[in-house]
Formats: sequence, C-alpha cells, structure tokens
Amino acid sequence: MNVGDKMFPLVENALDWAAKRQQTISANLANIDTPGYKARDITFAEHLQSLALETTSPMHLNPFSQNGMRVYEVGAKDRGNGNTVDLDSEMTELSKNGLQYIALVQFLNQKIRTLRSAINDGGKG
Amino acid sequence: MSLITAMRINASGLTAQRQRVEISSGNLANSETTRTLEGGAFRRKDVVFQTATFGQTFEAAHNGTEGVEVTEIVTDMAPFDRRYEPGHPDADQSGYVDFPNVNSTEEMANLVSAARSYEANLAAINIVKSMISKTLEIGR
Repeated sequence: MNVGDKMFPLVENALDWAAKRQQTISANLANIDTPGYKARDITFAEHLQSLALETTSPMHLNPFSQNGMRVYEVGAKDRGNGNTVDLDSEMTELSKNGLQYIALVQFLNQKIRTLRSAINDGGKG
Repeated sequence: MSLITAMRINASGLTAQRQRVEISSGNLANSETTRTLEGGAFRRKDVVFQTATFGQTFEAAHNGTEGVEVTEIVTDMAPFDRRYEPGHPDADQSGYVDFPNVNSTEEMANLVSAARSYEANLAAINIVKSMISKTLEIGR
C-alpha cells in the first residue's frame, strides 16, 4: 500500500456520486405533489464500467471525473397529473443511498486508520 | 456542498407543504363563512406547486436538483353551496343563502396528503443530516 493510493480518489468519487444522488432523491421528494414533474435518478453504470477500463482514447470516460454521471427520467407510472414520483420507491432509495454513503465513509475511515498505524507503528517492529 | 443543497431542496418541500396545510386549514375553518371582505361567501383556495431552482438555473435543471415552491394561491370558482334558509340574515329574496364551495371531505384528504409529503421531506432531511455528520468524522 502506498499513500498515493488510487483508492482515495475512487472512494471520494463514489461519495460524490452518493451525495449527488441524494440531491435527485431530495428533489423528487420535494416535488412529490408538483403537477407534471418527472421523477429522476442518476446513473453510475457508465461511471462504474469506466473504472475497469484503461483510458486509451480521449473518448473514454475518465474514472476520476464525474462525466459518467447522467441524470435521467425514471420511467415510472403517471399518477394522473403528469407526476411520476413514487413515494415508496423514493423512500427506499433514500435509506439505501444514506446507508451506502455511510458505508463508504466507514471504509474510508478504515483505510485512514490502516495508513495511520503503518505510519506510527511501522518502524517499531 | 451537494448535501447541503439536498437539505435545502427538502426544506423547500417542507415550506410548500406547510403552506398547503395552512390554505387547507383556512378552507376548513371558513367552510360556513357567508361574509368575507370581498363580499359574498368564502371561496375555496388552493395552492399551485411549481419546481424552483436555486440560483444556478441551468446547472440545477441539468443535475435534476430542483426544489419546489408555491407560485400562486388560486381561488376555486366552483358554484357556491346554495341552501334554503329564509331566516338567515344573508338570504336572498327567494330565501336561499350562498354557503362556501368548500368540501370538508376533500380538504381532509388534502390535509392528510400534505402531512404525508411533509413527513417524507422531513425523513430525507434527517438522513442527509446523518450523512453530513458522518462526513465530518472522516479521518478522526
């Protein structure tokens, strides 16, 4: 392991994605009674795919950029006034996203702890 | 910070739903009011919700981060509830009184719906709050 570990920017990106996703969930919940509002979500699929690939062309997505995030309209059922927000699925996604975010933070903390113990105790052996 | 924005978006939801409850409560309170400042019986009011962007209009729409606001309060022009009450001081020559076009059942349903939406936004704020406090613990 080295201090310039690629894991940090990756986790940072994932945290950023979860925070952005929280925004779309919040917007959906705020607009639950707005006529004509279309529920939205943010993708991570392309973002994730790009992580496994070498960027050999400038057309490839950079794993350390946010270009892989894309907002799209969820194809949910119209509730009669043009609004497609589904309260139950939004509440589920809300909890899920919150837990994912906290899990990422814990992972990052663990990583920092490991690094710190290497720095502090490494030479004592 | 995007989590703070998420909180603001939900806060806009709280404000809008609270305004809806206020208007609906006003309708219920005045469901028998036959005299108003504008003259005549009370007319049912309703709120109009619209998406609202915070500052950076383009970016907000692009990122799907729009809040909500009450753009106007409309008056329901549906006909009054005419009841035959000749003894009423506001009765016309034929003995009919115009009572407000407020339907209590509809208002109760509206109130419950607004309360549910309010709670949903509140739950989201609490989750965002815990996300933010966890963020502050990074590296501790």
